[in-house]
Amino acid sequence: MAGRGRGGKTGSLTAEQMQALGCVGKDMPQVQSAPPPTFPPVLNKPITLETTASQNYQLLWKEDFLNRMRDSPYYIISASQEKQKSSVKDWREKALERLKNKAEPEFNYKAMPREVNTTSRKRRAAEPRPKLVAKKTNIEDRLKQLEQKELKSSGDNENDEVKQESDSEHEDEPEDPEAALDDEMDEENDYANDYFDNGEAYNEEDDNLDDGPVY
Amino acid sequence: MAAAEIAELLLAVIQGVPGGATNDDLTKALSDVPAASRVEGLNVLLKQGGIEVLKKGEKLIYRAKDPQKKSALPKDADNEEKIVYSIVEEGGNKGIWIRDIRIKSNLNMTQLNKILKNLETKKLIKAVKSVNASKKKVYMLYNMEADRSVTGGAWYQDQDFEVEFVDVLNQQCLRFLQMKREGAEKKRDGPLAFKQMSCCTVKEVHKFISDLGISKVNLDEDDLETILKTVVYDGNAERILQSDGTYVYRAVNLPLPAPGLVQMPCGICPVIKNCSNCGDVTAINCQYMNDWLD
Amino acid sequence: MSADYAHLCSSILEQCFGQVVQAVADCLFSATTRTLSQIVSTTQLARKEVALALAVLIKFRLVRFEPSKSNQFLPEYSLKREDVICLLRYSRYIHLVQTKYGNVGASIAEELLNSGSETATSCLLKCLSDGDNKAESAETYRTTFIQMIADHYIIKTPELVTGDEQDDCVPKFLSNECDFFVPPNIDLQLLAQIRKGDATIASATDGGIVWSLNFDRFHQEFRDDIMKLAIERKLGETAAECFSFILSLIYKTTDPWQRKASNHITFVEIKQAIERKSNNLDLMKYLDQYISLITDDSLGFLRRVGDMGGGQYVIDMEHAFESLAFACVESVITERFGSKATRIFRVIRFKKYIEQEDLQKEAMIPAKEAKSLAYNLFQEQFIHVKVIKKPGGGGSGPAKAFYLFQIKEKDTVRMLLDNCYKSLYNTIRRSNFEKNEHKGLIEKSQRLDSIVETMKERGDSDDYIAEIVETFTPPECEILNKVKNRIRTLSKAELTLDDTIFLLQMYQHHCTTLPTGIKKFK
Repeated sequence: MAGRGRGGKTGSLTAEQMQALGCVGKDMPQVQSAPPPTFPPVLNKPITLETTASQNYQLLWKEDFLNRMRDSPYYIISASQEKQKSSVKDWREKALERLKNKAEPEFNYKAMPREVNTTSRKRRAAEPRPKLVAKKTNIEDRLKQLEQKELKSSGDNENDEVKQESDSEHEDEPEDPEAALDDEMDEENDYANDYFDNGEAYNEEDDNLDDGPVY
Repeated sequence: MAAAEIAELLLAVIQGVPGGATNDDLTKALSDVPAASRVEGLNVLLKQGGIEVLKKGEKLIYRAKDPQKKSALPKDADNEEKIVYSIVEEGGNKGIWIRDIRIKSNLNMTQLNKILKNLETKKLIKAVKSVNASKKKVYMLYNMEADRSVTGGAWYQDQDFEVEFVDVLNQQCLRFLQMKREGAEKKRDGPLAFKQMSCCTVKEVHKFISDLGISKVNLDEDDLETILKTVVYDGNAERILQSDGTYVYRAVNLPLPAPGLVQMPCGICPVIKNCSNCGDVTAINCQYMNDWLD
Repeated sequence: MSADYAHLCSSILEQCFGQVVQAVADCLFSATTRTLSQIVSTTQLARKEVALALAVLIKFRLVRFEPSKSNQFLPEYSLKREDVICLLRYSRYIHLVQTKYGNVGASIAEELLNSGSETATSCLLKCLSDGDNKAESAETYRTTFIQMIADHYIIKTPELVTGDEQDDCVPKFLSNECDFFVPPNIDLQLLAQIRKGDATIASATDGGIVWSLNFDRFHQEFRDDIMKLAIERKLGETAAECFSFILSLIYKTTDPWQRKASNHITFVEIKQAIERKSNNLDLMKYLDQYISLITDDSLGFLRRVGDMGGGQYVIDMEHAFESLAFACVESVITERFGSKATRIFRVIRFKKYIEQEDLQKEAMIPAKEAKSLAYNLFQEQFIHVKVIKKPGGGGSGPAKAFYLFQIKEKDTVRMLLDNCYKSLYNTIRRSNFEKNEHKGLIEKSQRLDSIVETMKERGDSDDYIAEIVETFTPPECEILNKVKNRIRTLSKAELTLDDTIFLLQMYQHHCTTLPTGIKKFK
């Protein structure tokens, strides 16, 4: 961008317009030979007002709300998205771990289009799609891979003690009554259930360092 | 203060009093000038021919001379000088632009410049910078007082707009309006009475400013109305039309507290247009944001 | 809907629902409607993930669906774009309810926000089972719930039409304006039985009647508060009280979201209402004066339109929000460009069209400064230039043009609103960054807190606990506090930014014909 480093259709004047607006001679903006500073000095600082009681209430509530949302089953972590960036271990991955403790989502599927109901058996009767099943299996695989990876990487990062703990927890998993129930009743290994409901025991250890509450 | 400066001040006072100023007027107006300097100043003026002394009963009266009389063209002036002088004279107190003199006189530029310079050194004419265009000089007879449209009136000193002067007047006018409002708040006889009591006429403001004595030049009510309008434009006062066609002014509060937008850096950011997810300006590497957060 | 708003929505949704929902919503944002398959192919997400994301968005009332015109069994989804920002206002809604109805109301509202919408029985059951609310009786909950319906803070959602099996590909709803606010029958005995386990929720009689928070009722309150506060600041408390009586009278006959002006109200009606309900003697004594004070004020909230009934008045919403929005714009200009720039802006606004030379004279600002300020305001699109072309003399010379400054008010407000969206997006982005940057430290402190808590419960010695606490070093402490402060400052900015956004949105609703989606009933 030329001149003052700003451009854009609406923001520029032609020489003729400048003249008409009186921007001539010494009133012209000076020709600049160097690019303008990225952050030119500002006139004022932002105004600081005292935090009111109402704001305090709202701030606390909001923090709480966002934490709750992040731990809720409505905070969806994508297996396919995670896969792509699983090399970067960030909070999302942690969140994925937490997902295992999430409650069952509550949807009033009656008031939604049938196709969004991923737990419905009717759906399969209505629109049999072998392609879809193949895809789902894929997700399951990916999910399992991901879980393995997580456990491994958490093992890498934490000390041996923790590793043993999480390993032992992992071994406990098949015994988890709900997980067993899931397998039993869902022929298709339903995505939602599998996602949100395995590994209840995860948070039971106080010093399970990976499962702290979200900030 | 130099004698010349005092002379100027004296002349301003004398011109301001119709019919001429008495010695008392001068003493009052320039109370901070010692008597000896005042006399010296008057002598300068008399020598220049700017004033004349008249006797009225026992008192001496100083009166400004008709400017036309003073700067008559000397008899030895040549023809070209006479022509140029009369063209400048025609221009009156609004002055005339050098290009127009050239066209009217049909002289070439070098010649004209020489003549103008000559007349200027003889203090017969003067060049005045017009406030409307800083490069445009206009010529007028030496002791012609330039028109407001050329000088810009009370707000200009040597063609420079006196920002500080205007700002001070703006603040003082606002202070007066606020004082009036505070005074009205104390006695509560219903909201309309309060409102009326907090309104100020231009006359009241004029008196307040005159009494303050902050202005060296004479300001009339129109001048103050101009200032009061700036107070209104600043959002600190309102202008209310009266049934007689005049306006009164009253201090007001802004209806909103500081908007949330200016309580954080983006609201006052000069480069917000450049701000995006990547590049030099982002929410992450923002200098303003960093300063604000620490 | 601007690109800035799109970014903001995207980041809000990510914050609340994660990246899958974000991706689905982004896809919906850029289109009028989409089918599930279209979303799947655009987002490259698994069909199940998309379906789940849609379910979440429908649950939180951010996506609506309709059968496709070509195939009635195929649903098409659209994002309620203007409602996404309401997610940021949840804390404000709760605070308002808390102020008006206390903790019981807050807990009901919170439950309705969490569930999106639900039956009265189910909502109260959840409230009652919450450990914090044991002190209050079911009766109190029921009364509050019904009161909130009566005050329109809770609204009935359109009723599900139950039909043939075939039909449930795309459920249909029936909405009837008459029963939006008809209180449901909440059986307290049954409630008690369900809580004891003696009955199930299926036996409740209000099964088909689903309630949710009526956001625009909250917005009405926020809007009215802005107006009342403005009057209070300019004309004092009593005038503000007077105005709030006028507002509540107006709502008896006027849709609160009528765009330009309200229906008529007479002086006599106002007087009667105030005599009945106010104990402000000053107001009663000088009522006529207060009304003319408000009517004459430059804010222009109240306009006299006739002489019937001691004087007929309307609330002039258009004028009111033009005054308020521009008070806001002007404050922003003052902070960003200085008070002289604001003076220039006001001169232009007052004169409608003005030439550069007249502008500097009127504003009493030296030519050079005036030009540079006007130029900056123009660059940043606060002011605009109107060109008037005059054909050249005799057709030979170039056409002469006059350039006049002017303010295209709607454009200025839209520009500033976009600035707000961008700013809000920036605070969220920066906040995420800060959290991420110091993630390790934050988590460490949280772990430590929970360990200490457990130790206290276990009754470990204070010395031992202190020893554990000390594993968090002073420098770590310092950094952590700094980060926490940063995040807090950013969160506060989010709240206050929304005040500005809300005000400017009110301008758009009352002063333009742009679609705003604001309605009495949704």
